[in-house]
Amino acid sequence: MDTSAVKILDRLAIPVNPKTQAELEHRWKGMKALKSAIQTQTKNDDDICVINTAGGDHVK
Amino acid sequence: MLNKALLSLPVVELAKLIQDRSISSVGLTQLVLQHAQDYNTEINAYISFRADKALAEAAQADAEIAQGNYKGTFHGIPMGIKDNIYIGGEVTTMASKIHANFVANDDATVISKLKAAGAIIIGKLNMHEYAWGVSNNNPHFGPCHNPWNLDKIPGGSSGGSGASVASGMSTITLGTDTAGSIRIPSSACGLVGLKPTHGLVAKYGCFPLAWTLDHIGPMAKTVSDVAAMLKVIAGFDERDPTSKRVEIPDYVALLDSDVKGKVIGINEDYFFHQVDAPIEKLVRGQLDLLEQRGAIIKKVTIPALRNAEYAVLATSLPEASTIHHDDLQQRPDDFGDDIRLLFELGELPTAVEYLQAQQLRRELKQQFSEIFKEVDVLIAPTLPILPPNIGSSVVKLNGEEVDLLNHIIRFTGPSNLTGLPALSIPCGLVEGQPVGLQIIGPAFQEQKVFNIALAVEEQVKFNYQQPVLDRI
Repeated sequence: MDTSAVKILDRLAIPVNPKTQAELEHRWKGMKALKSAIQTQTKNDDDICVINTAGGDHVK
Repeated sequence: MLNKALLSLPVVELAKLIQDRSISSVGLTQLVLQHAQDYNTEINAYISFRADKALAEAAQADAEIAQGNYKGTFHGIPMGIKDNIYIGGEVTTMASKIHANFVANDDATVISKLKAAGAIIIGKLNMHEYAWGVSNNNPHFGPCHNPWNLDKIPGGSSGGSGASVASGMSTITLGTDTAGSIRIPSSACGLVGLKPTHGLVAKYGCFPLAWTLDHIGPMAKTVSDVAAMLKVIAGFDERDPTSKRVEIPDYVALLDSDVKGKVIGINEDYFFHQVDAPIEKLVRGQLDLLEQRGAIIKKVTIPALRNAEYAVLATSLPEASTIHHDDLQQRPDDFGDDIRLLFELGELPTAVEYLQAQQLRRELKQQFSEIFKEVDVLIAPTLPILPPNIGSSVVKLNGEEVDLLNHIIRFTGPSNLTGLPALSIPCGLVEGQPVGLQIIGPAFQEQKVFNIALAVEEQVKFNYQQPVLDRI
């Protein structure tokens, strides 16, 4: 699967700015490089940081 | 017209003069407005002024004070406000073309609180478009200039906030901070700036950049001013789903610069890695002085910080792009090129990658929580670099050219991920430009941060210092 930024944005129907296309690809590669260097201990369900608060935003 | 020397005084000093009626709010408002309008051509800190309304509000403040109804420190104090914070019935542009004529129905929570405290809002301040950048080089309203050196950026996104207070064009102000946008301009402009704990200051009526990382906080000349402002703007508001019900102490009354026995953590691996040498020297110099006064300096390790740069990007970019997704598809040319690039970049991570970033974030929060069982605060440089020239996307770090965006948020971004309070305070000058020292504290314990900041302020004796506007 092609993971170039331009190809992904094309699939999302987002027009890419030709003036910054090269920088976009450069920064996207940089993000992927950062991701490949991640070292973490916690990947269990209970470490997920997305919370479902029943009863509304502020439960009294 | 009042004496221009008043423009360099902190708010707590101006407040005494207004309270005892040595000066009037109208007189002070006229002075600050005139000064701001005189220098705006060169500094470009303001997008708009509301002079007539401000003077009418100042006259009302004077009448209330004359009747014995003094409301406190901010009664009759004139200030500008960043233009992503709504004043009901008035235009809030977000420094953008798309929202150039946007009028909010309601005041932001922080505006309601400032109005109730008697503050006078004289205008709306320049900022990076939609707060999504660090230079305040705005394509629609022009670049904001750093009053310490007009060729340099004031930092961003709250660049107009930083430049206006540093130059006396505002007595104090508010900024917003998603990856450092209060602390970066505070460092670059020689101010004290606080990103409070997430949830302490309600964000209702502030245009979002990235929901889970956004904060509103004070930017001022002194620690006391910041503490006084926080007391006014903090507090629960059910209209903000992230707002927390916590007790708000009297931060000013509790200020105490005695550091004897206080434990100050330093993290060498992350916060002192790749720092421009003169900046590192200034920050370590302050640590030495704190130690001489009885503080205990303790080295700590926070391994999860190695993932922070990725987690900041994989969180902030998609959240910001979610907000602007439709406009990015339908009218992309109406964005500045720099933020359009970031919005494009934010469309790229997958949902899985965003959620993985939240896992990394939780791990980081847990490790910071453990560290704060051992130390009172952490100290680090605010920025590893000096602000570059306006228009530059690279900056020198120990002689090497590095990417501005990647490096300028490196030490500020982690506190947006954790939500912990973080304050920048001036610790000296390098090449004539201010340098900030960052103090990070435990959640909802801003007082610990203020007290160490007060000690640093005493050591540096930087307060009241303003740039000489001799080039203008």
